[in-house]
Amino acid sequence: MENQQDPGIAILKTIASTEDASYYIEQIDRFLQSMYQTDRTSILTVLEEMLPENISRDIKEYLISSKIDVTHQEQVRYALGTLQDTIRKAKVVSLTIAFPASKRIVEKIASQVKESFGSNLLVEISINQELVGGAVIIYKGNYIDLSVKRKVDILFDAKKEEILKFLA
Amino acid sequence: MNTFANLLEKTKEIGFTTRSLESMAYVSGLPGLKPGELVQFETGEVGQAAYIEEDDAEILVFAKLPIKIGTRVTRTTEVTTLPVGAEYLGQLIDPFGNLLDKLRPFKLPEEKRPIDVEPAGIAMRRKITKSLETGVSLVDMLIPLGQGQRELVIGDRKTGKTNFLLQTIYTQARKGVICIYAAIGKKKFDVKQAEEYFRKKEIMDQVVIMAALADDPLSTIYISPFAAMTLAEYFKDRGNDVLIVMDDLNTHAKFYREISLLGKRFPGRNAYPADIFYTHAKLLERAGNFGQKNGVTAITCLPVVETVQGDITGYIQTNLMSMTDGHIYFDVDLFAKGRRPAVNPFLSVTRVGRQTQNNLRRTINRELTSFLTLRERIENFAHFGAETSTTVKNTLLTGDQITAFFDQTSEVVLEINLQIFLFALIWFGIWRTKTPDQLKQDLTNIIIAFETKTEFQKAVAKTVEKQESLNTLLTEIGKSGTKILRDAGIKV
Amino acid sequence: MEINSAKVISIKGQVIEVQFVKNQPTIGDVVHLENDKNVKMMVYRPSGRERYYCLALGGTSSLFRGAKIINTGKSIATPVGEKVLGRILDLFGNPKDDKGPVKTDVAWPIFRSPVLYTDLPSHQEILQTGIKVIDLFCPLLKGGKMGLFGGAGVGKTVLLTEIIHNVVQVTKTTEGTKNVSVFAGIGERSREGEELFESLAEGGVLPFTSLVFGTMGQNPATRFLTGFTALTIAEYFRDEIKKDVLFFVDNVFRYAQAGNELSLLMNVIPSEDSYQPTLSSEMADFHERLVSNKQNNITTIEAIYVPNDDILDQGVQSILPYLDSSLILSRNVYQEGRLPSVDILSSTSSALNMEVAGILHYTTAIKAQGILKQAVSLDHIASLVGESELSHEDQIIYRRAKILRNYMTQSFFVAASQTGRPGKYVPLETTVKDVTDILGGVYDSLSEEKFLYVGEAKEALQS
Repeated sequence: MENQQDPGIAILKTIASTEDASYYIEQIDRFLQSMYQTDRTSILTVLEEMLPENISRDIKEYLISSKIDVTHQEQVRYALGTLQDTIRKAKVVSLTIAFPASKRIVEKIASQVKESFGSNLLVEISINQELVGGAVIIYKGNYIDLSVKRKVDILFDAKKEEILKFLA
Repeated sequence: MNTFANLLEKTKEIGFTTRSLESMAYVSGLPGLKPGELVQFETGEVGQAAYIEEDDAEILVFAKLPIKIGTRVTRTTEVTTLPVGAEYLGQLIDPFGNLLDKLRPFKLPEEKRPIDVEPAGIAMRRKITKSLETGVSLVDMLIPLGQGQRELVIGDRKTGKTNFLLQTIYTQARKGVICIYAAIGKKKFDVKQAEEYFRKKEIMDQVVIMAALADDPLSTIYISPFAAMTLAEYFKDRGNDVLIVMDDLNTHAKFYREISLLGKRFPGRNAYPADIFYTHAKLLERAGNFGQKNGVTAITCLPVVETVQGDITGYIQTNLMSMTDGHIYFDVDLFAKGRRPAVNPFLSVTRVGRQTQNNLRRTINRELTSFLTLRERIENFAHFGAETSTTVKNTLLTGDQITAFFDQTSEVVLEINLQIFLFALIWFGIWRTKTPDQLKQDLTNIIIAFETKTEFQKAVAKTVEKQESLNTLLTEIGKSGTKILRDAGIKV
Repeated sequence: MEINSAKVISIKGQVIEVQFVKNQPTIGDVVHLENDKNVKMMVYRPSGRERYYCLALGGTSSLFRGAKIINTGKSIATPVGEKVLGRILDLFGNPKDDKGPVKTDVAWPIFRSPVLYTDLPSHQEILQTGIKVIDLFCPLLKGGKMGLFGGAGVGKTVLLTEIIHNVVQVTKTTEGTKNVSVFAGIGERSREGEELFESLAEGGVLPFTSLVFGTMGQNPATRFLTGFTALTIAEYFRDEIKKDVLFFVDNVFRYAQAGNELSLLMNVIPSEDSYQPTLSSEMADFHERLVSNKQNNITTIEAIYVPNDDILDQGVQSILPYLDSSLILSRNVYQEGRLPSVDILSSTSSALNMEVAGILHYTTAIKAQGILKQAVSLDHIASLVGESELSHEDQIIYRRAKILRNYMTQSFFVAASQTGRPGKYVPLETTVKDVTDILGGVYDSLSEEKFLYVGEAKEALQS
């Protein structure tokens, strides 16, 4: 069940794809590495300086709602580590589509998926031109083939007799 | 992979291989997977679901090389089955029902049976009443077996167990019993030898050889006895009596242990998996004497287990002894002394065989057993060089003659009537003045004559079959024994 | 998704992990698949927050992760009472004998706490078996527990069957129907189950016997729970119908083994000899219910398999504390051809004392044990230098010991078709007298062979 109290979930809602998620995790890593060199009073400042604006804002939100004392390095480190875990463990809906999708399209697909299946899900896009169009969707081991290729195959199978007669 | 795509479409479930070992793979996904279900990898391998954990499922893969990580897999919604049919008679097959000779075209039988089934309950069992002849006189006379009995064949390596099994199969096949020889983890050479024996003796069309060779995947070796038993049950349900030999079960146990330890199961006793007893018990309980609509049919099972230096108190050995109705012990010391078969009748047990014997055989059995016990004691005594009375001398002499009689090479099987006839002749004293070697020569001549001369066979049958007890038989032998031999052209 | 429903999390052999979101179950509750009432499980042990290990009580091939589970709220109950006599039941009390349903309206749950009796039976007496070696050296205490220990193929089941034959059939004729018998077949061969059923029927005692079987080919949960069903049936006879009960088990070791198989699937850290750490309490749960009260008793005779011939095995050792009499069967004695193959010097019974057995029985047994013990050391000397080198007294002792050893062999009724010898029942009085005579030298002139498989000693004079 979705735990609305977990602040990490709020962050997941903002992440669209698994690519974005890797990027997010990388950014947190960068920040964590540099944290050693800062003194405790300026953690938030460094956050703002190092990371892209939206990420640093979200992480600040996250730290506040997790009730972390931002002057306490260990607590911050721990909280961010937990956040990374939450992101890594997020459930993934994998879509295989026929043509490369622009970032805008991916975000559109992601928001549709999040609306239908749950806002804490991530989308993983892969390309397979043979599908021609449509998509193959895999989620939690469930598999559904909505590709154009499949529809054509089904059509062919159904009309095999007719087509063979036609070609003979 | 056509089947893979079809199954994917049909089941709408997919999994990905996350970890991989020899004969095992762990897969994620496949939410509806059921224990025992078959799965299909996109690269063509097939596997069987074992433990199903929250995040991944353990799959027993029927392939030698580990599956590549990431390989997709789908459900089949079926359990592991074996095609069954009379077409398999005379063939060598693997535990999936395919011919070992992959080049020959062969149409798999239509009917398929799941290989992992519950054994029949108590209500289906019937008392064992018919005797099962092995053709080996030592066994038939001293350690008699019954149809539907489970008798363990136990002994060190190379003590003649396989020869004995082949002789038994030969005797039973000639009587119309369907014989299944399950070679578990054996070398190709050994399987070939068995096949040649069956062909030479012209019984191959009553036999099915199911082989899981030593270099087959662990998982294939693991399921092979279950597949073999499934085929036996098919024939039993059709009304045929079946003899199934499982050669051998400690190889099976060792391979199962390997799989379990790789699968990180907690080791039990001697590092074997905790359910090794259950695995074998469930298998052996499928053999027995069953009452069905079309009568009483039997699956007689002869599982084989090896010992090391004669130690029968090993874990697997004692497990199997608790599941079987007795054991035939091949003694490495007797083998070294040149006895063939090297069966030790004092250390062998048959729990249900004697009740299948008629009065005559029972009296012979008792007489002979107590004689041999007495002889053992006297032999020990005689080592001290004490004076030997005439009684003792006679006992030892008769003892030697009996030993010569029981000496039987793997080429020879004796029909029960002939066994009784010969025993009675010896007991009566026909060879009293001859050496054991002369006795052996005469026996060989008699056996050769018996194979071909039908008049002789009839005369022997007539002499033996009417008798109620050993005493009446001896009287009859006294009257007509030598005459029957002379008529058959044998001089004694 | 219903908030109430429970679902399957993992499936490992017979151990199914189930998550209960609301309405936590009680241990012992029977649950089943929402879609199939026949796929049943029993809640056994918690495995985590809101999660429980459940034992599958049948096949598992229709289970999958996420399958919805319904809790019946009830525990396994078995039919009890007169109507279970003459029947073969499984752990649920379902009939397995093709004779139709068991028509009874009383069912008791198979898990019950042992009732504490503040008054123990004050009068202890021996229950005769007619088997010389048992009655003399290792007598069975009425209301007590006897264990028959042995490795594979040394004669436990035959001995148990003979005891059933002698105690049940003989007491039937002398004490009328005061006794009922309950037989728990745990993890043994189906063939033997069927043969026992037949022989009880032939002997006319089936109407006083109830049989519960969980054979060796059945799953570990079944084998583990079968004994409890039998216990419950016995308790009902003791408490409600108020009869004395003879309780037979073949084989208690399989109960420990089944528990072992199940515990390793629940990630329980194994204890000594790889057994489950809960072995001792499991044995207690089983044996502590087999007690007697002032009015009625339960006399228990159990066969105990010794794996690997290793009597120090923890599974075997965990049973010893509950037994009053321990009869040890030995492979060496078996291979010497003496049946029953009892190792007399290792077998013990708390009933062998002056109050219960009486002075004559007690002193005779002690003297006999003494001679047999001496004979062991004389054996060694005799095998080296020959019997004739022993001193005169030692020779007498040695010979009497050999006669005694052979006298203790006995032909069994239940093995008659195998051995060709008719069975013999020898009353305790006769046994004590015969042994006294042997020790007193009455039979010194006879060779020891004459005593093999006799019933009474005087039969040796006839041959």
